[in-house]
Amino acid sequence: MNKTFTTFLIFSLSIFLFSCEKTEKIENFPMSPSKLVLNCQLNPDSVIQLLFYKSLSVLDNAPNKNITDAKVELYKDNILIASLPAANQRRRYVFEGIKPEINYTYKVVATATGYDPVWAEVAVPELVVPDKITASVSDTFAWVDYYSGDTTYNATGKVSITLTDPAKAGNYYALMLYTFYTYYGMDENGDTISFSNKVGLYNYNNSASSPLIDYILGYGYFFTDQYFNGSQVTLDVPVMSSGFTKSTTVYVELISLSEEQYLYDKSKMVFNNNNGNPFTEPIQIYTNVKNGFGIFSGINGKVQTVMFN
Amino acid sequence: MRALNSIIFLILAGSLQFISAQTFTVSGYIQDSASSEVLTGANVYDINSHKGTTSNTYGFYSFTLPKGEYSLRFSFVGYESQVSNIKLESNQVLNFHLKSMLTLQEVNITASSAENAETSSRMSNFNIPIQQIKSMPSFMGEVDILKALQLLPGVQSGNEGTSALYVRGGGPDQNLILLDDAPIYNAGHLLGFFSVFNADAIKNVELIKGGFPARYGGRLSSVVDIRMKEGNMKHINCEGSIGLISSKIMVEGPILQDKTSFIVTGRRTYIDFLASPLVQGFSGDEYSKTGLYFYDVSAKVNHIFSQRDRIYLSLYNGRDEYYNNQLPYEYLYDGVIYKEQSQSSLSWGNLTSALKWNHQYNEKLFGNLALTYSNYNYTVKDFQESIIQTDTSTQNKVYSIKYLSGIRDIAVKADFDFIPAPDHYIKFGINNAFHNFEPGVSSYKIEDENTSISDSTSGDIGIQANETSLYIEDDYMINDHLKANFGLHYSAFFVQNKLYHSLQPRLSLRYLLNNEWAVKGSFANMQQNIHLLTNSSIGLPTDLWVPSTAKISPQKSTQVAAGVSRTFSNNYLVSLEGYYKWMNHLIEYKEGASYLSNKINWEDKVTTGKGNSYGMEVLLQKKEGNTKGWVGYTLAWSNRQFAEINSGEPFPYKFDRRHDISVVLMQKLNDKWNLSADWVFGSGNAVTLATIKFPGLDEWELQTYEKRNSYRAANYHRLDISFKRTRITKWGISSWDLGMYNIYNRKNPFYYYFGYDSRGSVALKRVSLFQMIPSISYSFKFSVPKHK
Repeated sequence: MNKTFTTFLIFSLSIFLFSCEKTEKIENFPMSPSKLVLNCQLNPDSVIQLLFYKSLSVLDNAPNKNITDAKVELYKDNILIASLPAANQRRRYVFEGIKPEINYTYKVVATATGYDPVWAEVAVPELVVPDKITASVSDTFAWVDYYSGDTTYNATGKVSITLTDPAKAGNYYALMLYTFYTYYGMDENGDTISFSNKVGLYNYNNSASSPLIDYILGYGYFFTDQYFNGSQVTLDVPVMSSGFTKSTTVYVELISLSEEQYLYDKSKMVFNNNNGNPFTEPIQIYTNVKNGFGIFSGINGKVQTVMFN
Repeated sequence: MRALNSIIFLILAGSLQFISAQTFTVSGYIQDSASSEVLTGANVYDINSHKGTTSNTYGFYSFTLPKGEYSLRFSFVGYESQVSNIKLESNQVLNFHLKSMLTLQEVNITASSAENAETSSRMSNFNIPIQQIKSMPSFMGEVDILKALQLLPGVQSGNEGTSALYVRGGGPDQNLILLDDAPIYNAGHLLGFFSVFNADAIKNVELIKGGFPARYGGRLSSVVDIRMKEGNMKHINCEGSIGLISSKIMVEGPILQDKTSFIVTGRRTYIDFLASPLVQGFSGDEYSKTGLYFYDVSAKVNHIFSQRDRIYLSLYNGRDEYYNNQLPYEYLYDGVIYKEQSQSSLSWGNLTSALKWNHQYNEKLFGNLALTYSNYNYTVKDFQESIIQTDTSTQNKVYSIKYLSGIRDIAVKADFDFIPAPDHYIKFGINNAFHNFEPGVSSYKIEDENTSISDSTSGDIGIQANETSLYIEDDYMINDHLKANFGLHYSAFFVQNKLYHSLQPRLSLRYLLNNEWAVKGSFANMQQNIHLLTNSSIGLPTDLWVPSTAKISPQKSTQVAAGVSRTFSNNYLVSLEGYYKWMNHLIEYKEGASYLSNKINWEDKVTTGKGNSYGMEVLLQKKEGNTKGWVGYTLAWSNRQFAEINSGEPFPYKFDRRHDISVVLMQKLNDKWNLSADWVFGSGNAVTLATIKFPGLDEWELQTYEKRNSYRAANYHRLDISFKRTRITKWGISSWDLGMYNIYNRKNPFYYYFGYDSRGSVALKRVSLFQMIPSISYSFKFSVPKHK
């Protein structure tokens, strides 16, 4: 349907555009002043590390290099717990030995010469482990590559996850579904070596997937507890991928997201969808960095495995 | 309630005062002498007392005066005035037939006796004679009513070439477009580049952009009231034209002489026929067939039962269709026969009809009962079929998907005109409309070789709503200087077990400073119970009409306006108006949401907000003579604010256009040649551009904007010109129309994007759509002589 509409637009506009479409360069476009960009994702399994950049005008052809001379202060529930005068691991600002904990609010304040100071804060969400996971294959079919003649086996199936949402409202989730596909090659000595690639389990039927899923980005399924706050719920996700069949192991990663991460990913999803379409409004990429751009967010997830049957 | 009581008291007090004297009423219909078409808005004026009235939409007038002798002048734009001396000693019926100055021998109209703006209590409204619209320069040879309205002050065009109206800072969904009382929900053909109205079928067009009379409701920004012709009661007429992209024809005539008449019009484009060989040539695919076309047909029949009763039945059907078909083909590969075919289409259109019954209850009370039906829908269809045939088996696979969206209305309305005295013109009525909304439903079906069938329907469920409105208004001449049009409009919208109702006061005042200058003011509360969800500004058929629901409130507005007007020498009009409009409960897609993501309900895709607009409009018009036309200027601001857009900060509306100028000229060069030209200027639209880039968490580059609509597109301006040569032949009239759109080849902005220049650097680029476009069309008009 999307294709029909797109071809319709192209066809109809090309009738009108025929011999009268002109493109010309606009000179003297106003350039926006640069601001600090802070990117950091807090994860209880990792030490806190940040990256800084500067924002550039889209007309700027220079590569975006990291800013390594920012002064950074880290607060935990408004108490200063660490500071860094500059990047300490090449381009990264790494707070050694400090792993974020849930139920605390972390705040970063950064200053750099030539930029307005920026700050942002976030709390790491609580880990939610699925109560039950099942995966079933409904159909398999072979696909023969036209040129190589290789046969690939594809499958469709369903992954169901039952989880219990914590009592507080405003929980955000991402569900990542993938398998690993192993293939073999040879090294320079002629020895056989194996490679393992992560293969996402993509949704093949948007309208049939759980109505609870708000949006899909790659092989991540994003949803909130808006409709099941504090109660148990089961999500059914129809999936399709090459390289899986019965007895294949599926990796299920349920990640609790801070609201900031959820909104950031959602705006990125829209950005990806709209990019290059002149008839859609540009998207404002979500940021919680005051006076700047970027994202300071929290995630908390765990990977589990289950076999397709 | 207190307001309602006050209005009823005012009406009754004024009426009773007059009724106490011995009075009689002269009433009847005012019609065109050649065709018996009724004339809407014709003036009846007592030369001695300087009192008067006008005919209503159906040509009916009623004039109550004390017993005595009178000289009544009957006049109408483009018609010769006539004076009738009457002795009024009892109620009289006086039907009047005015002679048009637009005859077969004189195509160029000469307006005369137009009602001067300062005599009317109303403001912010325009009536453009259809002949004047037809004589303006056209786009690709297609005369367009809505594009003519865009040339008026306070009315802006949207994107290049489209016929959408943006009135006083409002959106295109805030215009109530009525065709013979039936609402038209999508007034655009071919992405909005042409309007759905065939000018040959239209009798009258009125635009109201403020000071709304109480009889209108349901939209915030304007009313475009379009009336179809009734059909010639005297003889058969035929009109038609052949243009570069379309042709049209109109036939009208009597079925029963002076009793029953009909009119039928039809129009179709032939871009699909012209473009198909080109498309096939470019694609190199002889099995591919792609096309895009539109057609519209309209028909109307009316029958006069008696002096008091008349019925009308009108029908309009217009449709656009895009198709991309892969014709059936088969090939043999490795001993297997493969057969494939596919069809894709996207179509949309309006179907409206109206059945109306006019009844004159007595000399002072006229009623119209109307039953209307309106259906707008669009459909996307994809169908693919493949057959794999071997010696031993046949596999068949069918895949189909369908997307449907639309709105369907059935309405009953009763309107009454009560004219108790020359100083009062009371209108009251009731309207009940049943809406059926289908915001978007998808269904798909797969049949494979094992005949396993998967069938699914999803999307938004249909919503039914009932809308009832009641109104009463009076056009009241309070004294020689002060005239008022005041009234109340009550609206009740029942949807999903929730009732939204509102009482909307309306007031227009006119104060005559002297015989030439008039000061005017108006106030109007409006409520709009339906909304248009749109991602774009080019009037795509995918724009969704949705109702207010239990979660989404109706849009509301309050508009105040004030102005002065003066007519010089009964020929030159000067008008100056200022306005301020507050709008609440506006809806807009959240950032990035669109109709295609029907995974979630449309209510979850929208955010609500508010807006305001204000400005000043100037109109200088010359109404008569060989040289006619106007200059319109608008200075305006329009802003929006939504919680989930632009970080909740206010931002300019995308068609916030600071300066808008229109110059229209119609010049009669000689008996054969007419020249018309228009020049338009608009300061640049507000555009949102992603101007900033930075790396994301995964270090891929992201682009964002800082402020919504913060970039200004280049100014828009163009000059259109048209020459018309008319020739009178033995059989009728023929004319050639040679036009040039955008004659100085201005590259006006259509949209902007970031691309790469010749050195490979990122650059902002502007795409222009229509540059200089010549057009030529041939028109003809003839009458079938009566058999003797």
